Amino acid sequence: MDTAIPRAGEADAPARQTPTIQRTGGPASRPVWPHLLGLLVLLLPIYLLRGNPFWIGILAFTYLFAGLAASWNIIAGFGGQFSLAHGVFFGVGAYTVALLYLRAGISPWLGLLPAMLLGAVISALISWPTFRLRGPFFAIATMALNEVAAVFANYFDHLTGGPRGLLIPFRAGLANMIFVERWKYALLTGMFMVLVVIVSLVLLRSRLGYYLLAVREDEDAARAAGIPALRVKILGMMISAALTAMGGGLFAMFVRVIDPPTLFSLQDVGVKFALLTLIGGMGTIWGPVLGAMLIVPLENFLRTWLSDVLPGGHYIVLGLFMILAARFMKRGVVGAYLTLIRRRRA
Amino acid sequence: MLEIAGITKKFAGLTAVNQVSFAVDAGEIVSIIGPNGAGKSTLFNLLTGNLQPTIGSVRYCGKPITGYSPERRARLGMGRTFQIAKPLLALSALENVLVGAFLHQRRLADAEAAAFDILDDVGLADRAAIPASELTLSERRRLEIARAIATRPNLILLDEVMAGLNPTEVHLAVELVRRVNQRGITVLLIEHNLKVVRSFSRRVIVLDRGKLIADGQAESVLADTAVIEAYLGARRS
Repeated sequence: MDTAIPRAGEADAPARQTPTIQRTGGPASRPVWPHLLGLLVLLLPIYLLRGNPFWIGILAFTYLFAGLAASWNIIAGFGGQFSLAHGVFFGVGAYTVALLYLRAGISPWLGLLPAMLLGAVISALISWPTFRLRGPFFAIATMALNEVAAVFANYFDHLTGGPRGLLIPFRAGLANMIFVERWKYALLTGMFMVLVVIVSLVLLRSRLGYYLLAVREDEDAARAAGIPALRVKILGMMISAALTAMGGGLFAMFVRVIDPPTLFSLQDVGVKFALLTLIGGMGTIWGPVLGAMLIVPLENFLRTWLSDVLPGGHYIVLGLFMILAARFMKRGVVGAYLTLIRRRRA
Repeated sequence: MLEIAGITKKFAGLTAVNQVSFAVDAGEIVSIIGPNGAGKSTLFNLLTGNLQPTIGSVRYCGKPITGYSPERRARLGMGRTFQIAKPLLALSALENVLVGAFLHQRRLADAEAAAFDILDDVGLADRAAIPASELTLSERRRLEIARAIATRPNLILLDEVMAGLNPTEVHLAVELVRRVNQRGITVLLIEHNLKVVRSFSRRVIVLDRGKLIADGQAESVLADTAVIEAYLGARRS
């Protein structure tokens, strides 16, 4: 640091006796392999369902939203900043990848990089003013940004195609990220989920990850411990937004039709990340993934099943789930499970 | 080490801290006492950067730090605890200290080793894996001190770390503060319990209605008539 004073206890620290208490159970000694094994198991259905185009499509969506929810969880779950602006980063990613491919012929694989960069930069610009707001005020401000993005996308129609949207023609090929075999999409979005979970794992074993947790728990206490809270929140947001933009890019190439209502709809995108994560368990590694595994297939099933009888009825059922989760499992499925284990041990 | 010059804080019509000046030398244990509402906590928040003074300046190790943010002061070696303990409830005791240790150790394994050492030191080693939300008040206060020590401060500001503790716990806390001081950390603390103040603090600063009314040796300050009047009211004769 910039002071030249010798730090206390550095010069003549007495040799420490062997500690009487075993120094285990710290985060550094927690094994990683169960997480990796879990990821492998979650990818197994790709192989099992590869011949069923309907279910493999739902599987691809499930992985995509698992990855997106896990991305949102980085800033909302670890950092405690309940952002509803993630639809913006999702849309930015989708438009960037699609436009670079359509207008400049840039392969979507390469297009993902500028998409992530743009998502991160925009998130930093949004965060700078909004992170001065705390709690629900932050959530409301970011929710408004979703609407702003939708208006912009409609307005700049020479770029985004406006309300008509963009259509990506079907030209199959690895370089175009367009596949005839549907299971390849599932593999792609599955890999995206794996990437986000691994980023989360690395984060929770790093200084930045602990700083995010500290800011979530108590911003004043964190700052008193020397943590630059604003910078930590912005960094967390940028990582979260970059991954969300990546998911948006994959979404664009998977559905090949993107328009403002699809990308910036609050209930299908912006709030969906939050819903999946809340039901699964916020601030945990596996919560968002499990939330997506439970809800996305159910939602797709309900949407098809209820479409004749009660169009939009799946929202009622999902809302009910949300209320039940909020009432009985404040920390989601994963939180309820962890509490159960602790009670068993005690 | 710490020089406070003519510091004043006004809230609307109220002057919470009025023209307070004093200096703290390296290695001292200095207590700030005063009746409720005397401005002790406001003064503390001015020193830690949680509040900015209306007038006046704070120097730390010769460096003017008046406009510095709390985190920047912490990085310079000023640790603090809060009057209402602020443990990171969802994290384990170990992780609470880890958060402080990361300031000087970037790698998780190193920071964790340092955190274990400090937990051992404050007597919470057996609570390492317990969430902070399940600790007792006394343990939470120790945890706060542990987290502050983990940032390797030269100066530590303790805001009523003994309030609400039973006599045994107070004794433990006094021992801990002494041990912190023996590590070479200068201690500035707010304390209500005059017996505690007498037992370890050679120097006492008294605030009353925002003003510094006494600063000196504990025995003489605590016998001072102005101080007694501030605490007990004027003697009627």
